[in-house]
Amino acid sequence: MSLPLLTAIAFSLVLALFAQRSLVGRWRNSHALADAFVTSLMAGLVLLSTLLEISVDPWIAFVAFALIKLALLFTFLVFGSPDRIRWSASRAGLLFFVVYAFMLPASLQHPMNGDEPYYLLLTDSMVRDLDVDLANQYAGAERPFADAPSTAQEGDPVGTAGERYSRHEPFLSLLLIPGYLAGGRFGASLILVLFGALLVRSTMRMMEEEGVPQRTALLLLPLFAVGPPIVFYATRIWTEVPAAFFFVEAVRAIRHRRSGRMLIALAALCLLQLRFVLVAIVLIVRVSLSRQFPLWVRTGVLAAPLAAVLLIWGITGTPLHIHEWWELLPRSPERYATGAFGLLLDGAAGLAFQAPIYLLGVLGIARWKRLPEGARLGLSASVIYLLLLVIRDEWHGGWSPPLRYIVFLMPFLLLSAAFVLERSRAWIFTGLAAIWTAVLTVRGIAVPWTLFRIADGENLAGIHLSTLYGTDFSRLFPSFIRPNSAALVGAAIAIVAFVLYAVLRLESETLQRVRAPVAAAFAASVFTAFLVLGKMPGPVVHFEDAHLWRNNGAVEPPPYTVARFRFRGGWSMGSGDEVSFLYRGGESRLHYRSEEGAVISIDGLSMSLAPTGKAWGEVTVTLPAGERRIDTRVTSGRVVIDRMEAVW
Amino acid sequence: MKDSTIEAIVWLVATGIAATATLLAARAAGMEGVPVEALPPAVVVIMLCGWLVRDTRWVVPVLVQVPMIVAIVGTISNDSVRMLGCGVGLAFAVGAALFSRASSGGLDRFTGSILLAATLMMFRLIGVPQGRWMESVLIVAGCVVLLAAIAHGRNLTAGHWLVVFATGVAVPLYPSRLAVVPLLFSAIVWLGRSSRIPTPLATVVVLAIVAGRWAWPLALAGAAIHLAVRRPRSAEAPATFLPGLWASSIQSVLRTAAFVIAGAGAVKTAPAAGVIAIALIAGGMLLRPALAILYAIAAAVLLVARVESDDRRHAGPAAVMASLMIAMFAWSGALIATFPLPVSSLAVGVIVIGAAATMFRSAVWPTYVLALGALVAALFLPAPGALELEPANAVLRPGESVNLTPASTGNEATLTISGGNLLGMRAGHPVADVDVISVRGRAYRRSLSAGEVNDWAGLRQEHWFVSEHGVPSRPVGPLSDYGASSYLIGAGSIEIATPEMIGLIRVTMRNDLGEGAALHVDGFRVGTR
Repeated sequence: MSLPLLTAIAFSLVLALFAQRSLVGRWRNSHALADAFVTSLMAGLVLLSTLLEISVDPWIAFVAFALIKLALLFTFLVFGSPDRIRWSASRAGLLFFVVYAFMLPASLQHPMNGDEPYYLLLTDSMVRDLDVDLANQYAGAERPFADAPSTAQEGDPVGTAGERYSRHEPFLSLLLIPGYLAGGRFGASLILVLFGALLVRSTMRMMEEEGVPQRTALLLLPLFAVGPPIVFYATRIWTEVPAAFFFVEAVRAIRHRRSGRMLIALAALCLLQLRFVLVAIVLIVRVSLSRQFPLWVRTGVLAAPLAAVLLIWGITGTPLHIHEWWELLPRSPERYATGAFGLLLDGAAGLAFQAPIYLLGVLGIARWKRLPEGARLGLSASVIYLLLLVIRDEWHGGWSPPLRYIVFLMPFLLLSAAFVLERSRAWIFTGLAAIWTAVLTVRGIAVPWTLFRIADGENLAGIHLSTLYGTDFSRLFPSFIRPNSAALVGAAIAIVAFVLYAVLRLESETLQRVRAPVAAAFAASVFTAFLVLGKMPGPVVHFEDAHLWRNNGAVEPPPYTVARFRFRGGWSMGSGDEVSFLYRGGESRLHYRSEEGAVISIDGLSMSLAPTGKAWGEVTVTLPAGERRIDTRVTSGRVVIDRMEAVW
Repeated sequence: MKDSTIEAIVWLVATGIAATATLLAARAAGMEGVPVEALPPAVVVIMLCGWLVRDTRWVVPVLVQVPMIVAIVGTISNDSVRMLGCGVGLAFAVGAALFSRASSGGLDRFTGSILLAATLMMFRLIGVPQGRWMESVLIVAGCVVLLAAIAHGRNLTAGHWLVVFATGVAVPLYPSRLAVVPLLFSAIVWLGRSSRIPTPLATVVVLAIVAGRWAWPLALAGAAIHLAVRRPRSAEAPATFLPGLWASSIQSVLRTAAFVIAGAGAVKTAPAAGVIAIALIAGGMLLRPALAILYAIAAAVLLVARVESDDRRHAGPAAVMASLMIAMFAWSGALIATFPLPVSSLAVGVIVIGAAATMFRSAVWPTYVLALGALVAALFLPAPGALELEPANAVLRPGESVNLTPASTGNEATLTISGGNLLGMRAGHPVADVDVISVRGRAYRRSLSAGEVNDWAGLRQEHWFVSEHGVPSRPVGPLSDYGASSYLIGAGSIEIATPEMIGLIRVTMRNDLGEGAALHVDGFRVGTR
């Protein structure tokens, strides 16, 4: 039997066991029948797929199957009256511990990516050498574990005696030790799974404490726990999920005046990564100024960030680790706008396309005073962090699954989303967001390497459609990584929606009653408009984009270039290399770079490109007007073409 | 203007916009032909379902299907997957509307008729073969009349709706006279309820004459059943029988066995209805497949018509069964003849689970395990349609043979074969011999019969009613065309295992099959088990 099938069977049985414990009486039997029906339906689809000549990847099938089963269980939980269900936050934690644990086989069959191997290497160093110097780990001929890196990350601190320290704070690696000793990478990942489960439990508890009705909490919980970004970090060795857990615990402890728990949570948050001090500091100031805590707590809480800074200082000899003081200084306004709207709307790295349910949470900020106190505390604590994040070049997270830098904020956006959902009853949006979330989750778990993308302004949906139709669909997704017109439109819509939500009250009953059909027709029209527009040629053609048909060449800079997003790029072509794309013709500008010059043929028109050295240059190209495919071929020389854009 | 009027106008405008958007999306996505025709009406039906459940919590899940369909059309390139996705959306919407209305007692005759007509039109009018419009419209209209006849003077249940819908799905389009079948059923129902015998009896007689000889015993049996069974105890038993009846008409031993197990469970709860249904289906199985299906459905219609129960608990299973059929609306023509095998297997699975639920004190664990077993079995069943075969492309006439030399070695041979002009061959009649000759020269013979090897076009609507054999025991497919013109190609897959390595395969057609008969050996493959 294949691994996906075995996993599917085991998952089904465990979920069935869980359903038995969580549902009562006839409701439980109804679930059993519905579950059996869903399973049978899958069996039918398997058989039918052969007659329809459809083939599906086994892992995709398994993840989809698991999600459907989980959705079914939550449907019963949501619609079950209190006497029909047994539910608690701890039960939620246990359930999602199981869910995440079942995701591990899918995750572990692929190599580690991003920062993961470095955290594990640090753990290995702590276990074997009882130090945090990785020099011998990098130099050793024998790898301590599969996928162990052999070189340091660029910019890692170097000690006075040549020690190689990791750029990552050691606290997470320390936490991984028991798991690593017990089961290597699997054991270490299991520690993260445990944190994922604890985060779910804490978030559920927080929603209960903040007065979110159980039905709403149960509706949103699966979108949180098995939706991006939490699900992608719950089985990976990154600090994001533990940080979210400690952040939630810190806020809950402050709300309920539990001093000890608060101190531990704040200290752990600061120790995980220095950047989280920016979040903790707001809470710390608040506690210090509050008379609701005893004096020893109000002063002791200051030790949390201090301990983190001192630890790093002691190890690397610099209090800010790899950071510098100037990073705290204000930058130009457009950087704030780009980063902030990017985190909100960017097709590849923003909430709107990577975790849309949290848009409701952002909308909740418009009614700040009515938000639950916990949400206000969590969101306000993040302001300094966010202000300093959005002006960074890598606000989008760099080489990591999407939304990396704001994972810790998700529980509070969820709380805010619950508030909005309770009042606005935006069910059509929630339904579509749930379906989109499911698609993202299936893809992210079954095809995990797609979570790591170069920040080139395209997202996977745009790439899929561009490849399917051979036209530029990516331009219709807002991109703040490579700013485009859709980004401007998206930002304007976001502002209008925010303002409308803040001031508008739909009191008319008739309006309430026709919202659903209007929303359905509107959504269908938007999708159609998207499709029709996407099939038309755009005014700008980026030569590295997915919609071009290519014959040879390579993306420039190469995909694994460190901090690639800082460089301007394009498609590198040598003699004989060709690309073809749909274009509207007319007068256009070609942006390129060629050290020694090149001769190219565009749509049969031969032209010489003057040498530009290392700089970028541009040349005007006049093509006959009219929509058609344009073939471009390099006749001689080598050139990197960034883009061709119409002159208005 | 009244609020209700404004609301109605908004719904109408939204429906128009959604349907237009779907049409434009389909065209932009490069879709052509029947699938494009099918999508806007599908969206209209979904909006109609949304309207029917507008005051319930189902309205959002139903209406979400509209943008979902547009998204599916735009993002998926495979037409089969697109249409299956749209079918699932439509099925969900209709199933939800049916369940919501029936479980709350709101499935009145008007609502049921509207929902029935709209859904059946998707099946009978999309992609209808040229010149068959009138017949299709007559079938839909007949079903609406049948529903009215069944629901006359009492509450309509989801079971009633399901049985009438199944009638509308299963009536063959050829020959034309079969279009009166729903009206014939209506007349029989009328006869059973009316105190004034002559008028309805005359109507039954006239319609039975129009429908053909096959309908005469049915008319008599219908009248007899009405006299014999005055008070069936459950509305659901006959309704839940439907998929089993249908499945067994496919003449598979496994499915029939499952049906008998399920029947045992149903008999326990509704003895009279169960016994009669089993007796009818047993009789129907002696007839050719198309008639067996019609008799099975007739049995269900007649039984349902006599039920006085207003039990709403089984609205769910009935809605699910309806949804299973509706999900395949894009292949409605093929559905008439085949009720696609995987779905019928699933239906039987559900019945077995239902039966298990009556046999075990706590049905929970058997239910989970049975369903999982079905999934594993489905995954491990060989998928003949997905096999990569060496092309053979040999056409044999009676007495002729062909030698096939495999490129690879192994002890198991797989062949895909279809027949020509074999419509009159009853299942089990030998049609060919396959000699598998090992590399050491030893021969192993396997006889092939109709049922394994079927007429290539036997499941096309033009031939379905007269075909003596149904779906191949291991169909290779694929499904051809869309809408009411679609059909399952009658090619079947045959596996032969030997203890030795295979060196040669020889297929010889029997020479007693009549003039014009032919066998087409499409492809073969030799591998190791």
